[in-house]
Amino acid sequence: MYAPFVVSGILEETIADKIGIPNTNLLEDALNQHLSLSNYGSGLTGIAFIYIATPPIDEIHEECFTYSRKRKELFVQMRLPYDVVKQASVAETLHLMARSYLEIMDEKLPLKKITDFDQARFVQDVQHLFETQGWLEVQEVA
Amino acid sequence: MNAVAKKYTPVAPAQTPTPQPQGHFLLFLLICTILGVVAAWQGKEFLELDDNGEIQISAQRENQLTQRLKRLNQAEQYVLRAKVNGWYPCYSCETSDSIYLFAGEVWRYGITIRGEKGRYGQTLKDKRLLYVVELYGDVLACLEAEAIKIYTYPKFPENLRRPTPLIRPPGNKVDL
Repeated sequence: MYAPFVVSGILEETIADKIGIPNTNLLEDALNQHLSLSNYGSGLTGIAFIYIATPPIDEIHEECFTYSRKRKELFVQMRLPYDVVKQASVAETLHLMARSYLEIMDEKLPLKKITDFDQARFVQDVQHLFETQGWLEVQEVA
Repeated sequence: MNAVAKKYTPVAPAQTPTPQPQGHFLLFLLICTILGVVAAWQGKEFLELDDNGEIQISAQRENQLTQRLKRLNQAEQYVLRAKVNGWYPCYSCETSDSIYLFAGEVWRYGITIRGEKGRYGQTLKDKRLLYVVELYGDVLACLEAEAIKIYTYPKFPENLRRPTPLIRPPGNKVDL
């Protein structure tokens, strides 16, 4: 991985700009600048989070949540609701992305039982970071 | 008169004859026969006789063919774009193995079919790239779109701005 926190996307062309460069980079930069994985133990050195935003016709890309014990890396592919993103603004999409990131980590990270990694504190800090950035405020998509 | 030395030949101690392993040989023969029968049966698994006694492709192979054709109809043509300004590997640069790309610029065009799951997501974690799907369709339509994009890339504004324009996107090693 080129950074401890990687955020990227597999996106359909018409909505690529909503998720793509502005928002994936905002999330990635915030996580890398404010959080250090080594503060939570030695069990995890990298998290790659790939948003999938493609129409239902796409059967190629699938969600996954995998942990490599050898590389100590977490690889996540998570689908965003295509129709919701299509209607949403760039700012609304960022909020959706942040909320989804936190929800997936909160829900699925404990299932991996990663040794020497304080998952609860990590999720708490991600939540605090996103709240500080104002990304968890509820925004209704028109 | 010189005596001729007689070559010493060690005398092997007398051995009691071991019984012929006839039982082992028969067991070996039996295993070979069984394996042969299984191999012959498996080898003909791709053929079946229908109700009229005609030879047909087996149901299993028919199913595999259907799945294969379905996958070939579920292809996509994509572009990998730079996520941030910076240096990226360049396979089509004449004098360098890396190139400076601005965010949003094309690094590579490609196609993929169902069955290559995960491959491109894993690419994204190692390179600062976004995967953007430009076309869904059958594999031929996607190959055509990919070819058009690779061959017309040289006249893209982002490429013409460079002191030495590239013949194809930096991440494409060959035209197709």
